[in-house]
Amino acid sequence: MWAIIGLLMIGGVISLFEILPLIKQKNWREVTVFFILLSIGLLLNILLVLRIEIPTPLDLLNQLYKPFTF
Amino acid sequence: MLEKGKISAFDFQVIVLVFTIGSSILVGPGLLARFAKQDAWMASSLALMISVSFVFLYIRLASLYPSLTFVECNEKILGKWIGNMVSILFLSYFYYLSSGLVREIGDFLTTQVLVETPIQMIMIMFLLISLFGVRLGLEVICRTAVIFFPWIVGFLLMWFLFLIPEIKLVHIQPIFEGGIVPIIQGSYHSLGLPFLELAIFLMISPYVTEKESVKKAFYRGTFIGGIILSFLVTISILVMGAEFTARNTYPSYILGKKISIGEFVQRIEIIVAIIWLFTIYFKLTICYYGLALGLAQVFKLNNYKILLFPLAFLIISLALFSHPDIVHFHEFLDHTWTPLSLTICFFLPLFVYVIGVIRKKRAIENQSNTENI
Repeated sequence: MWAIIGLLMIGGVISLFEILPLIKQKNWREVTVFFILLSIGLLLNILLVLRIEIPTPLDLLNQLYKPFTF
Repeated sequence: MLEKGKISAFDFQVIVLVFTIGSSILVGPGLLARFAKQDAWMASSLALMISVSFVFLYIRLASLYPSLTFVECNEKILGKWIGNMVSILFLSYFYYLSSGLVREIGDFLTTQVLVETPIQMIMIMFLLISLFGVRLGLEVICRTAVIFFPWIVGFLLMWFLFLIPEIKLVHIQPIFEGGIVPIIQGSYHSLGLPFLELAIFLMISPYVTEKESVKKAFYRGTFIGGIILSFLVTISILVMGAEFTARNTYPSYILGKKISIGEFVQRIEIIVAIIWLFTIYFKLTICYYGLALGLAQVFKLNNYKILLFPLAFLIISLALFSHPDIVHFHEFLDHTWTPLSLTICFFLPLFVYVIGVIRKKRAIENQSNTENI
C-alpha cells in the first residue's frame, strides 16, 4: 500500500515540476504525451509492486523467431 | 530542431567505440564460446568483417538526407502513417535494449558485487545517472565519453598485460575441431551483439559537424571496438579454456579474478569491472537519448526532455518483468536477439534506403521533365 502511495507521489512531484511551465506556455501536445506515457509507466510499476504477473512480450518474440535460429 | 548540440567527428568515433564495447564485453565471450567452442576467436573476427557491411548501409542511409535523423527520414520517405509505424517499431527495439542494459547491470551487480542490495535500487540509481546525462544533451554525453575514454583504454591495457602470464596455448587447440559450421553459427549469433545495435547512430549522425569525416569515424570506431572485443574473446579462451568460458555468466569478470602478478597484484577484478560500468553507462545513455529524441520527433514535440521521466518508469518496469530469470535472458540472447536485430536494424533500414533512393531518382526525373516542357 505504502509503495503505491510513494510511487504516485513521485509521479505527482515529477509532473508538478515538468508540467507547470508547459501549461503556462499552453503546449497541450507535450502535456498529453507526458501524461499518457507516465500513466502507462506508473500502472506497470504498480502491477509490479502488487506482484501481479505481467506476461512478458519476449515469449512471443521467442516463438516468432524460432525458425530463424540455428 | 530538437537538439541544438554539435559534436565533432572525433567525439563521434569515441562514442561509437565505447558503444561497440558496451555490454558485449560482459556477455559476448560466453555466447561465442557456447557456439564455437575454442574457435570463438575466429567466429568473432568473422562477425567483425560481416558487420562492416551494416555500417556501410547505415552510412549510405545517413548520407541520403544528411541533416535528418532516421525518424524524420522515415516520415519524409514513407509518408506520415507508414513512416511513423516504422519509427515506432525501430524505437521499441531500443526501448527493449535500454531496459535490457539496465537489467544486465542489475543482474551483474546483485550476483557479483552488491549481493544484498535489491536489484530495483541499483537499476534506479543507474538509470537516474543516465537520465541526468541525457537531460544535459548530446554534447555533454560525448564530451564525457571523451574524458573517460583514456581510463577505459588504460584499464583495458592493464588487464590484457596482466593476463599475459596466464595464457596457455593448449586451450585453443585443436583448431577447426567441429569444422566450419560452429564458427559460422557463432558469428551469426554474435552479429546482433553489438554490431547491429549500431543502428541507433542513425539518430545521432545528423548532429556531427564534419559530414565528410563522419564516415571514416564510423568505420574506425566500429573496427577498433570490434578488434578489442575479438581480442577479449581470444584472451578469455586462452586463459580459461572454452568450456569454462561457456559455463560462466560473466567470463570477463572471472578473468579479472585470475590476475595474479607475483602474488602481489591480486583480486583486482573490481577495477576491471569499472571498464564495463563506464561502457554500459554510455551505451545506455545513447540508447535512452535516441529513444527520447525519436519519440519526440514522432509526436512532433518541441522538447524531448519532457519524455525522460515517463520513459524511466517504463524502462524500469520492462527491465523487471521482461525476464523472469537469467536463464530466460540467456536463451533470449542466444536464440532470438540476432534474428530480431536483423529484422529491425538491417532489413528495415534497407527497405527505407531502397525506397528513398527510388523516390529521390523519381524526383530528379520529374524535375528534368518539367524543365523540358
